[in-house]
Amino acid sequence: MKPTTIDLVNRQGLQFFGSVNASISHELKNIFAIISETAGFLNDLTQLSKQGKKLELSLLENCSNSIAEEIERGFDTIRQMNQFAHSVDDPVKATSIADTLVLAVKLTGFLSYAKKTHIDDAAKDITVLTSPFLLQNLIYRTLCALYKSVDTKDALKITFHEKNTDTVFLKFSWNTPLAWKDFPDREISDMADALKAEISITDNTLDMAVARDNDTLSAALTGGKQ
Amino acid sequence: MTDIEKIHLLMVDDEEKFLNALTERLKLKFFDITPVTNGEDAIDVAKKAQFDVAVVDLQMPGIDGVELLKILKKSHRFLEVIILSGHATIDVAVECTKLGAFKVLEKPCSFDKLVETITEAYESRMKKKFEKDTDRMKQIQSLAFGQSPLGILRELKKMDDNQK
Repeated sequence: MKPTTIDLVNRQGLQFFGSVNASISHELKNIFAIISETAGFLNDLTQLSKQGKKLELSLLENCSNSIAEEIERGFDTIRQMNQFAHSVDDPVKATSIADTLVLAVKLTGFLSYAKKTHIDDAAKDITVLTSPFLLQNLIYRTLCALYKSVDTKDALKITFHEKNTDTVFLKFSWNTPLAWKDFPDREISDMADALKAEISITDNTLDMAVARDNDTLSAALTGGKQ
Repeated sequence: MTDIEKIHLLMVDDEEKFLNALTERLKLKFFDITPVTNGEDAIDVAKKAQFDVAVVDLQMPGIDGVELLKILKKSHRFLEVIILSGHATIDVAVECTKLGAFKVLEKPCSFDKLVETITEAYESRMKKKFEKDTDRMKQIQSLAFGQSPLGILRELKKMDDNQK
């Protein structure tokens, strides 16, 4: 049976929220691990210095730079976590495609199997009236599927433009041709249906056409008839 | 102290800065470290050099920690492998232990805990290597309790034959 849009947000959405939070916590653990070991190394150097060993200033400089960089990385991660948490504030709203793509690339970037991904920064931003959370979920899952499928050394490129007044067109491309298996899966297909998005694939592109104004989503997500 | 007298550690982690910081700290102790950032390089260096203990991150792109553990244990009979994991769940620990990991540690773990675990792993390697050598086994088992992990490591290293 086809899930309702509310089901997509509740069941798959909760799973999505959990998995993103897990990857963020993993990223933060890595950051703390680096800070902890660098601070420990500084302490080791201090002890050695007390025993009369010459202290190399360049080592101290490297350590303090490393700690400062990790703190900045931590702040950046928390900014993304905050932005992601606020994606459920409004069931439906005018949503920036550029912002959604940037956040999805950053959040998927925490995954160990993520690939280098470049978003066309020359593209003019476009907004769509849709569910920001479901759109984020759809793009995140699409990126995960691509990262798992494309060649290990390959990179992804994402471009987007307004196809016509009703549709926004997102293109994901890569170099090495790919034999797709089981894509899009049922969860991605259900989400695409709810978002009025159409996905088509070739061996080195994935095109996603998203409706600019999804007027049925608002009622569906606030308990009205779908 | 020459490198031959040190414990040879293979450290594998795709977090390069974590790897570098830990390498610098361990170098100040009793260890000769070979740091690598991926499973493929770990397999290559393990073919060319002798390692006593490997410390392997679980989540890495390409060959992950579980896969690397299988490969290392298959091709290096006495190598002990410690797994570092950001998600050290019971399931992960059970799976890795079944595959021959010496221990699974949650990341970040304290430096002292890591050194203690490496010491235990090295002791385990020595016992496996010399299980038929009664005299050496007696020596290993008689190592004084109350010694620091690094003290035990030094004593164990003196008894090793430096063979793979």
